[in-house]
Amino acid sequence: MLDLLLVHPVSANDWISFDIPSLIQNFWSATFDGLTFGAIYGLIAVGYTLVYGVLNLINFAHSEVFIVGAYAVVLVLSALGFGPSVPTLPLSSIILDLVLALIIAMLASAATAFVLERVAYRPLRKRNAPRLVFLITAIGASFAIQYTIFLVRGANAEPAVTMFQAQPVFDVFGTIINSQQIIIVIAAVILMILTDQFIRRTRVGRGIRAVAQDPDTATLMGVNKERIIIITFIVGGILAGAAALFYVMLVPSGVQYNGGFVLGVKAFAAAVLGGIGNVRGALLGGLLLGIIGNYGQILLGDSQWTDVVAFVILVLVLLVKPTGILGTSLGRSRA
Amino acid sequence: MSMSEGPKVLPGAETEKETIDVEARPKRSSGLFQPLVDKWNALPRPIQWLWLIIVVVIAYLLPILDIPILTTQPGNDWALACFSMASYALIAVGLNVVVGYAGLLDLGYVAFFAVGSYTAALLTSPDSPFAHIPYLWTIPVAMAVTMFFGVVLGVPTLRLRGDYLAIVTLGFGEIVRILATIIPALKGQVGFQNVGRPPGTAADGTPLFANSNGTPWYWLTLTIIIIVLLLVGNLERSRVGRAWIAIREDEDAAEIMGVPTFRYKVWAFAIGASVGGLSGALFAGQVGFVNNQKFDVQTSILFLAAVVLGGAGNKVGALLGGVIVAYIPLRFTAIANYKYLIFGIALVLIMIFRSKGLLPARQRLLAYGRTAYQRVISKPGTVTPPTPPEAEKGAAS
Amino acid sequence: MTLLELKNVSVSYGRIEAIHDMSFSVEEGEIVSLIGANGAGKSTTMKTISGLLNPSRGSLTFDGQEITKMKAHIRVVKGISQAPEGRGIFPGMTVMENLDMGAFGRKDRSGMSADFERVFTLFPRLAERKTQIGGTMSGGEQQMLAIGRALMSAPRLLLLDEPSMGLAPQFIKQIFTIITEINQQGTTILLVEQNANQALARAHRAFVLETGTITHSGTGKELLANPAIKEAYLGVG
Repeated sequence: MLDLLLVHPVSANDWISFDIPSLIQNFWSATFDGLTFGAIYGLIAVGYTLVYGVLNLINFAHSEVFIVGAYAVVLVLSALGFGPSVPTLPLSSIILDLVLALIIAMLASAATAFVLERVAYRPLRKRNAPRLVFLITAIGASFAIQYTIFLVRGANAEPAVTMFQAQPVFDVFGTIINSQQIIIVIAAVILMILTDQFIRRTRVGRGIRAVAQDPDTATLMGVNKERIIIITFIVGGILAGAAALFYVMLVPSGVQYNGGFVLGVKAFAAAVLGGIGNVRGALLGGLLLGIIGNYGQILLGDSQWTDVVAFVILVLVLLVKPTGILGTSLGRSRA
Repeated sequence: MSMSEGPKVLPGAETEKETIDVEARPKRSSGLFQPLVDKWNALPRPIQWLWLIIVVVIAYLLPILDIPILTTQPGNDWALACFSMASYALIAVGLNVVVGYAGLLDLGYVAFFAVGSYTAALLTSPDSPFAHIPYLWTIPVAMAVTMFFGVVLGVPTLRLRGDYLAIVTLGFGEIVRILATIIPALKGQVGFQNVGRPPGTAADGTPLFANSNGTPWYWLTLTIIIIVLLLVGNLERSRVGRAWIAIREDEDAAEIMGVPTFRYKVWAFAIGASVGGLSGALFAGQVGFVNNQKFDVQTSILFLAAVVLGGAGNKVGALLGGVIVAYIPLRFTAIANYKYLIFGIALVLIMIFRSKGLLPARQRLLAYGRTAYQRVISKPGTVTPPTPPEAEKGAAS
Repeated sequence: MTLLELKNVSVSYGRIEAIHDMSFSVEEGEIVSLIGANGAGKSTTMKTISGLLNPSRGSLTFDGQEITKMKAHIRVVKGISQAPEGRGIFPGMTVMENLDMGAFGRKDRSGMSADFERVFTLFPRLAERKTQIGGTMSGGEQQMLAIGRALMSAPRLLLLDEPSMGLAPQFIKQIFTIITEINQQGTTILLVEQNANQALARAHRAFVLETGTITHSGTGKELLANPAIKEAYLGVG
């Protein structure tokens, strides 16, 4: 059909071209890079997944919860003297500074999530608003936060803050794995395990699962639903703050007022891929999405293809298995 | 504008009326212009027609009149501003079918606009390798292409909960922009020059539909808006429209009552998409140039803000919302940079303070929501459930 | 001593009033039954007492304390516990976790382990299935779990909303025997039922609810003997 319309010759490569040799050549580095990015998606995805599990709401403004954390990281580290070049501080003081930045980012993101819940969503819950109203509020809030940042910090990306020089650590299949990748993946996995255990083992965690499965009955058991909801937002915010630190570690000059948005869509896709409402699913979905997106990027030859690939995966999962790989419910995540 | 004449109903009287009208639902405040709407509904039919004709005539004269207080000069050309307002109005009317009637949240409407623009560009611009067709033909082609995209996107997502549609459309909006950038054939920022225009030559030999002359483009768009409004109005009153409202009010109930909700949702989504494509093709023609720059997510949210501000579910409200969202940044250039912040906050505030926008969905239509189940399924071969008493009251009002 | 008192309570959904001006009380140690047809307002009454619904008029007092505006989760701590209609088992949690949820507001570990023992003695079936996922249990087992879970908060007043609903006849008898046993152990019980026969036979006192109003009241035996009630609710006459 398209060919019939053509008057000038047009090569298929003008539309999409596949660079298979490049993929084969870079397979392992793409995998390790993908895992690193995937760990960050996973951390953000937990925020979507927990709120979705408890409120059945896609919290569109979660991407802004993340980006506020990223700004906090950049501002704290700049204030501590970090800049575009590799810092010359002793290792111990770098670690201390990074921990400080991490804590402040977690606080900033958690505070954003808290305010968002109280100001935007709670009034709607109080009057039993229809779902559409929640979603429109969510997107409106996302927008309002984004452009408040724009007003304060301007349109340009923040100057780069380099945390440390990534050191080669292992050589796997001829590909170097560096210290950044190891730190990010291990830290993310530890945080996810802690979150998972928090939800499975603690009393508050049981409360979260109860509200997710049956809010009214949970109330009848003495669960303070409002408190559980706010805790859920805060936990999501804390993990988004951690994701923000790792993101800046990986992409030192990547903090821009609208930078959360695409990461947010990808993290949500990761949550759906793993099974929304499921913390382990968020990690699994994040890692998978990171890897597949990276393969797509190398195969198709432009870094922006990762976004397209993530989106196509989201649509395919919804088409084939909307419950994701590990199933959906917060409660069932135990089995 | 003419609707603003006549005595205003006292606020107290309005409140009282509302408590009577609203049945067994949580109380909601009415739209800002509710007194006007009541006044309008009370007018006899011929008078309504008379007013409508006056409004339409004024609307056509708008770019020529250039009223001093209203004008966007010297910052922005008034005729082009009129075209811009008309474009937003058309888009809002289209998006209103999706969001307002069927209650589906489409956060990537700009993508359909983009697909329409690129369709027009690829089929008319000399930069395109494709065969060329006359510009006016690209309008139906763009509608068909965007409708196809709407179906492709809607089928996997509309079977699921409404939230998924929101995120998928949000993603789609971004993906279309990215694809325009990274697919070489779509020429990224270089874009397509000299997109076609409707035929016709002015007295001085220049094309009638010149890119710099907003007036003929405005007239064309206004005419299309009137046609679309008539078509949408017919749909709204048909079985399809009632099914949409049933879905919006309570999808589960509609499904149980035998409304094929999935099919009607896909229809709403695809019809909305095709109107987006239509306005995209018009936009491409007027500007004469299409590249990857205009189609960002922010614009989608502005479109949504237009519908919500005007009153989701009310086509005249959506139209008005579109005009306002386009007009404010053009008229008050000092705040143009803050428009996203302003409309973002406006979205949240409108939702929290439960206003239904300027012109709310008509009470009559809300009443339809309850009777719609009966009407929709009262086709031969299906069993009609007993009519609950509230539904009868609703139908009678 | 009066444990629970409702005074002139009305409850509406929007403009539809489901309960009109209802007043009754439950004395400590009693089993009180509310019987009535579908839509008579039985579940609305229960939800109002447990705090899921707020009355538009009237007041509620529990143990001498006004609770009209008290949040539902605090009423649990005060000693009101409900086994909701349709059982409300958390489908993704095990039997043990569901029981744990019942004790959500408690911190006294020794008291909790005593209550676990009590529940497992009342329902040996639950003891056998501690690790089974709630959603995979049969209707009768879920009902046992719902009652057991409600007992885990060590309530002074136990609200049971249609405990016999959807159960096989032999189960119904068993459930009512256990309800009597729980009462004899010292828990006051307010029971809502469509199965009027059993509910009246087990109750100290009972009320008949019709379209949101109490139409008859008396001891269980009196109402069982009332010809009008026999005809309307007991399928005889």
